[in-house]
Amino acid sequence: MVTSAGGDTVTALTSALAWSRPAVVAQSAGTSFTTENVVTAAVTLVLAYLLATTMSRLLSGLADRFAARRFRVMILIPIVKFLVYGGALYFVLSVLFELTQTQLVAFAGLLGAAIGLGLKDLLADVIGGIVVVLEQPFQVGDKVTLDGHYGEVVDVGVRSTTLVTPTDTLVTVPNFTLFNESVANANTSAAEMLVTIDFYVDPEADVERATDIVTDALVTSPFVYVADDAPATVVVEDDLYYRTLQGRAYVTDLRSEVGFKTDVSERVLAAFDAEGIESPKVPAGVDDPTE
Amino acid sequence: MADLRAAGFDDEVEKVGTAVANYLDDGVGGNVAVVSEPYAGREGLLAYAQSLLDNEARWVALDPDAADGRGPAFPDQAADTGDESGESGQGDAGPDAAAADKDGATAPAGALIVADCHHLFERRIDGFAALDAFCDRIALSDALVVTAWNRYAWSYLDAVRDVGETFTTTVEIPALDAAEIRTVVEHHYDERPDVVDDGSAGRVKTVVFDEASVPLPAGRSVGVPYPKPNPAWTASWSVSGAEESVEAVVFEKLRRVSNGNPGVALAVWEASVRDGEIAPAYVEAFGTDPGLDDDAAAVLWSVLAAERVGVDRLTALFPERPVEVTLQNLAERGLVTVADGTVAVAPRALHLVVASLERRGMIW
Repeated sequence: MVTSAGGDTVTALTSALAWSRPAVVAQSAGTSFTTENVVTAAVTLVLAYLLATTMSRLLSGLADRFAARRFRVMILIPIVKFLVYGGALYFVLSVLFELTQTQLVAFAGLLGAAIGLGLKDLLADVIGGIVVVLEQPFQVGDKVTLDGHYGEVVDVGVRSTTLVTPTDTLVTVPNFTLFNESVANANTSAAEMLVTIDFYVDPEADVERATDIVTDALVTSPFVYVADDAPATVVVEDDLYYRTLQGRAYVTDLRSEVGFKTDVSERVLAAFDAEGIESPKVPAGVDDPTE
Repeated sequence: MADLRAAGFDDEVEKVGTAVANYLDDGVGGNVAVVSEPYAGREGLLAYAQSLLDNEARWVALDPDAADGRGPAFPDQAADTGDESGESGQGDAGPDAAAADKDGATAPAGALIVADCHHLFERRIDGFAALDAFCDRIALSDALVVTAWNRYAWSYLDAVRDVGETFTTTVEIPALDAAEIRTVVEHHYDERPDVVDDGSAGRVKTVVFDEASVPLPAGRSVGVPYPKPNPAWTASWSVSGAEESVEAVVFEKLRRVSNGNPGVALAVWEASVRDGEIAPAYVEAFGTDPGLDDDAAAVLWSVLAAERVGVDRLTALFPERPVEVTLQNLAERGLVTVADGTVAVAPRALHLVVASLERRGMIW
């Protein structure tokens, strides 16, 4: 029997020990939802978010500094995000769960049922995202046509791919679309991209002079890039009521596509006016290409 | 010639000499294009070519109005009625047109030296007429034609007009090293400032990095950096005096800031001398990224490619852009100089301008 003085000491010690023992929030076979583990999991997820966001911003800044290698840097962004979040999820699951074989089988069964019931589209999206990262039909920074939408890829996520169209509209395309639709990639991760501009002239107009004007306008634009493997050309097509002059040239940066088209079009049309090169006169009832 | 060799232009002197020697031997000239950055001293090579020709070559220095004409007349095209607008002639009249002498041998077809050929074009619709006419006449002529071009105009014209195919010999003036920069500075100034060490001299780098191009499949290549000893460090290795070491640092820094361009180096040198003294810390690069918009970039490219151009010509070239406001802004930031209605890139700002335009993809 402990004396009252010693009893106070034992009581104090017992109280201290009780305080140092971690409170058990929930525990069963295969889980360890202690306060410490839950806090660890939460902190891990928050840190993962901060790390992924910081890395994404750093890589975007780095991509802007290296104009010619911008796309090779930007492709790292979804990969880094995938690795960071995947690693965080694995760590959280390993901290919180200690799954037995029985639990694994039960979980797999439940997962299969859930997928069969309603998550098959989500899984298709996720697998589509993995296919994009592995096969790289396009990369962040490419100009693509996906599901009928044309724009620059700004993000490749686990579930969807985000485009920004020339009218500054953000379009989110589910990744499973890739399994059923074709993908048109305008620049395949290069900074330069081919841009075409169509002009229509009257069949009686001086086509040779018009071609020279279009060629000069293409190669004198401040946005153009010309090299042996990236020439500027003009293709002339003849039709009953008009002739089409299609100017084809590369721009130094795919983001200059609209500026390039505007610059070339303005100067060509001004030169056509000055030289008396007339627009076609299409009879009523015939498809007018200028409309 | 001794000055050119001392300034590090051995290979370039050799190429020009070979082209002139072939012309003097055969009577028919190859065509030479001397290409360099602004302020890099390509006129020295032209003067060397003229000296080899016993000053019988006709020297023509083009100005920005040359784009409105058809280029200079050729010495062996006697019936030529070419418009010579845009020339500022210099030197004697050219030699006689090619003709057989009494022994039946063909006399030399004549030689023509044309400086500032980048003035033969303007970056606009119908801006290449004078250049095309000039290149066509070179192809038809047997004369030796030695030309000088701005590097940025040359790379653009080679891409869009294949102008490089017209010339059998292309001489690119290289960047100078620290010792060669020192020679240029010493040659230019009679009096040298005192070299001081203000404590923040910094040391000469022991190792510098160069880049080797490694070929890859499909015609690609990748640059692989590799270290090599810094020539300025090895040069200062045997120097015992502290003053000589600080001087080596000054010229090494001058080389780095000027990218080996002698004209830029002289401008930086002048700006670095304070009260008769110079120190490594006084040698500073010019400014930071100017952040050009589309208007400024387009105007600045034209000024860089032309080296000097009238404000009126720029205004006519860009009717839809606010040229005068843009030039005022660029001048206030020290990127260009405007004097007597003529604009030029400021020497100290040359490489900052080039880097900015490269980042925009306007220099290939």
